[in-house]
Amino acid sequence: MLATCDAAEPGVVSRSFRDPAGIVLRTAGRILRSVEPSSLAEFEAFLATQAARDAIEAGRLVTSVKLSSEETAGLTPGSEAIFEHQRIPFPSYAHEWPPEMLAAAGALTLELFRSALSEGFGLKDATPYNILFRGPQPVFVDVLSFERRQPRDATWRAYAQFVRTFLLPLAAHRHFGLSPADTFAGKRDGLEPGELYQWAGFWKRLTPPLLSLVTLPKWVGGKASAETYHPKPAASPEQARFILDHLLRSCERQLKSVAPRPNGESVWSGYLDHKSLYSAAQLEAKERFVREALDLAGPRAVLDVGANEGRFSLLAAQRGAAVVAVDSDPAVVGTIWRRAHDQNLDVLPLVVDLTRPTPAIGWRNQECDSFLQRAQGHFDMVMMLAVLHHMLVTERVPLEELLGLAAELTRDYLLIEFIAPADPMFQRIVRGREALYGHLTFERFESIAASHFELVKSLRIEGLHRCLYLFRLRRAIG
Amino acid sequence: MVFGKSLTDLFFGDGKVDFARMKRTIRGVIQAWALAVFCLLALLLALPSKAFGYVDPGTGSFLYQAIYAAVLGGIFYLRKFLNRFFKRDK
Repeated sequence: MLATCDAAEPGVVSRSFRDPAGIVLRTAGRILRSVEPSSLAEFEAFLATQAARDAIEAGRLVTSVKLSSEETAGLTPGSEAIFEHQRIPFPSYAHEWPPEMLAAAGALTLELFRSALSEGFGLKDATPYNILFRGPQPVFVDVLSFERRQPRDATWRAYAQFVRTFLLPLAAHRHFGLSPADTFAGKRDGLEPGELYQWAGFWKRLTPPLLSLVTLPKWVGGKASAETYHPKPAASPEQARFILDHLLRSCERQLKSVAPRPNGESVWSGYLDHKSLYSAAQLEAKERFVREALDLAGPRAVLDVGANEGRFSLLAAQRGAAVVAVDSDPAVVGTIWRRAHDQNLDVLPLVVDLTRPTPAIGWRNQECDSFLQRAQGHFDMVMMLAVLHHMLVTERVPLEELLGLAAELTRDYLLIEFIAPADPMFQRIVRGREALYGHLTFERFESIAASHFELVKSLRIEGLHRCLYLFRLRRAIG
Repeated sequence: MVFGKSLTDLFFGDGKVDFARMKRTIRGVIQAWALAVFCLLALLLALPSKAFGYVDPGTGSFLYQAIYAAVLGGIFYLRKFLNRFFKRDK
């Protein structure tokens, strides 16, 4: 398993240690992989296969370039070979993905396994942490996961891990409403069949897909002994291939059966279309302002906070920006992913609540960086549209803090919508606590913002208690 | 294809019941199943392999896969046998 996290820290930091065949190192923004001498020939043989070359060409597998001995001097004490991988602009993890992205990562895992199998290779592990996303496209980054298979070996040892980390979290979402982001926030290696067995009722246990994913494994699980893990090889390579082909086909079918449906509804889905206060003309005015702000600022990397279904993220991506769109609702983040994927736009949608951002997790809290660590210095524009009042009222974060964080997250521009306490949407979430927010006027907002930002332009939405601002960071101007 | 021809074609080729052919086919199916069971046993009695990999192979899911593999291993030989049987018969 690999965790390619990246932050601007000096020195060499090891982030992957479970696989004895090698480790991943991060140094000065470069992602390097040290490969043990005993695994080097196999690793290079895999890279030379047509399957690997095709996957790299299609952007499905990360590139790996072997460094010369001069380049590797001082990086590792031993004689390991070092490969450099192409950096993925913004690393993200299963604990930040909507179910749609977990399903796409699972499909890529099976696709690459199938193509590698035709050249005698397979996957030794099958976890979502082998995969990062470039925009909405999954990229397999743990290249050392591929191993040469014994021709008569009919067992995929990572099958149970594929079930635990892809099929069961997706089934838990589909059948019990548990978001994969919630599953992986607490569990590196996914869910066990026994957990879903407890949640499932009588009929769910006895019908597909839980019958084969949960119930049968649960029933036979107690019979496992030490010998179980040394299965007999097949009688011939053809028989082994026949078994593996069917197992893969079965995994593909099960993945489809537990993948989220396209029309998942939530409180926040369809918000801008029919739940918000905006009339068509007001929405058009807002969109025009956002479009003009994007044209004026010309950002290359945008963070859209509270992106909802991604209307403005897609707008920024259409103008050439690489967008990270965050929202706390997995259903709307899934919708953004579908849209960005279908329109081939550079939007990476993540389930992140900025008032409670993804923490650093894993061994020593160092396997995966926190969201804020990864975001530091990455974005030249932050968009916070119709989200500030939720952070102020629901999460009770002071306005000074919110603008302070915005000033840390952007290197240049802030595009923000301020919603005054008189706004009906503000009123709806205040629920009797008006006295706490009476001081929050447009003037007060502008004066706090002025401590970090300089106003570029603003637009008061006619007929609403809302104002859009394009600010520029003072230190960027200075 | 496991069955190259439908059963109707096999047994009622010229509008008459072909008992000899029906007998051959039934015998073939019985032989195929016998072979499948034999292969399954052979699979289970073969020498154990060396286990590779560092990932937790699980308990129930691993056993489920082993059973799945055993059944598929049998089907593989059954298919092979039936294919050969029907090819020879043509």
